[in-house]
Amino acid sequence: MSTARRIGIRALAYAAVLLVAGCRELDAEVAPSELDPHYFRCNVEPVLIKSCGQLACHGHTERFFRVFGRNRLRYGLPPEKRNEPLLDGERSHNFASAAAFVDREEPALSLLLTKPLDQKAGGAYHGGANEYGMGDVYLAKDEDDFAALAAWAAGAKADPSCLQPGEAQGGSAP
Amino acid sequence: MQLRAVFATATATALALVTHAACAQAVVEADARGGVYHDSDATTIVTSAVAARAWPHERLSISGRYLADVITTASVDVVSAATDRWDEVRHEGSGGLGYKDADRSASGSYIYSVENDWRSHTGVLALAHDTLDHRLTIGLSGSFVYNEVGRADDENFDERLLGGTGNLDTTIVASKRDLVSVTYSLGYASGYQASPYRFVRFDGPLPGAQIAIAERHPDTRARHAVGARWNHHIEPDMALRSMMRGYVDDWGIASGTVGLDYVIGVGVFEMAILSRAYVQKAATFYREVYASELDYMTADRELATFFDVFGGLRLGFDVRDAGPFESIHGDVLGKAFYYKFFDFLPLPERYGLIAELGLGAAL
Amino acid sequence: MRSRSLARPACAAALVIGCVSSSACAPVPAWQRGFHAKPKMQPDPNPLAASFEQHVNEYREGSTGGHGTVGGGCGCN
Repeated sequence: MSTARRIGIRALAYAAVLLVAGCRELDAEVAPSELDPHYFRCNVEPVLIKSCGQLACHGHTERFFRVFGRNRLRYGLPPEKRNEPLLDGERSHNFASAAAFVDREEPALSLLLTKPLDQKAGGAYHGGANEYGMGDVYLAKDEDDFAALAAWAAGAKADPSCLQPGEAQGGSAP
Repeated sequence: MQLRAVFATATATALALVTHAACAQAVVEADARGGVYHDSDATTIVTSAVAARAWPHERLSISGRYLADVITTASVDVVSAATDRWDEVRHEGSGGLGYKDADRSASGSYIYSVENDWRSHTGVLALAHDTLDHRLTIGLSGSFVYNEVGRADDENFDERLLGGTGNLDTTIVASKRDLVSVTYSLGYASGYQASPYRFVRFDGPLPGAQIAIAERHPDTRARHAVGARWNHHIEPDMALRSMMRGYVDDWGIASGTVGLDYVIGVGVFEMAILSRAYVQKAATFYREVYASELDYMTADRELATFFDVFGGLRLGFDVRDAGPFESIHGDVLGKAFYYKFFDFLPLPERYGLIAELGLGAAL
Repeated sequence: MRSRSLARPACAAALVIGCVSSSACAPVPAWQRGFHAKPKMQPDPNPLAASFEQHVNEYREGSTGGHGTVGGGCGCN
């Protein structure tokens, strides 16, 4: 068999296999998040630390959704330094962790919103709600803190000047 | 309500079967089978099924089946869903009609399956035609499945998964000792294909503090499989049953399967030595460890790179003309299996046992 | 590399289909098909047992399909 014919047969075989297998690109990295870091820092992170970051809840290393906060979960700091201001790395982690729970195509369906919202108001199953038997973190969508989370997930932006010196240092110490 | 629908399907079929059995000319077959699956990943599944088929007319058959799976698991899958243990029951009821004459056969069936977080409706149609003096059978079949995917304890989680498959079959009498069949299957699924319970971790800004994200699978999946079977008879009463299959899909999975059963008949008894091996290449978007966020991310070990091997023994009997019965048959089966996962950190290997008992009769 | 690894199963399948097609040309008269009527030679002798096996495998492997859906070929309809 001639080399040209052999190459031709191989090319046909590969073409058939590719046709059969498809050639979709499925392992592309997602584009960087367009969620606003300033709005997060000023309006969302304090809410997450206050309402989610308790040591028995999402301030725990074993939780999928993990929040670092002052006097709560810290990254590599000894207990006596737990009240130190949040480190940049901890803030970056909080942002990335929250962003991973936002559905970019349908923000309203984000786990960041549906998990803390009571099922009667359209929320999702949340272990925390069951554990304490007092309903979920937010009983209705019109609660201020929930509205802040929803606005951020939907693309709300804040002026960087929202960070005043001495404020928003990872939420008030509980 | 859902369970009622399963029982309604199964009961309607059973009533029809009994009615036809009561007619003088009816021929009825009934089978029952139970099985236990247990593996080293803390999963036990007990499956029970009853099936019956009746021929109210020489060419027409009606069939029905009820199956229940009782699943108890504390698998690593469950751990990745932040739970301790799952116990659930799956019910499946099906009913079908069949037609067969000297050269052609056709059948249609409906299957309803329900568990606490999943409900599915499946319709199946199959046609077959014998040609070349019955040396060649060409078959065409298709199925459509509509799944409603839920999440336990979450009434607001409501997703859909639609799927369809088409199969083209040829079965050939290759020699007086050999029967060979080749099947091509095309499958397509569209909708929610991830698990609502699983989360995937990827490296975040802080070393050792990974970010978690809900599992994300592509919405569509096209599957292609080519399978071949070769049954070879060895005198006086033995058979080698072999199979091989190649599979590719547009998620990047490629796999190969081979199987060989050696069946020995001694009078009414039969013994079969069973073996099967499977090897799979991982999906394109599967990672042992995700270094960054990808469009699609999974923690599903069934999308990883692995192989598995099964080996076992089946002992059976088939007694003809036993009193009022045209035949009584049964079998016991024991299999051991081993899975080796090459790139799934939580579970490098899995092994276990399967035991089954089947009994049936034709009247 | 990817298409190379996928080409192997496709070539194997093509080989099987070729062998099967050529075999079909050798006629086997009906009176020589006694072996084919035996249950152990049927494509699917025990559908309930086969459905158990298929359920176990399809749930734990990433592949489906390629199983025969119709019997026949033995002239014992």
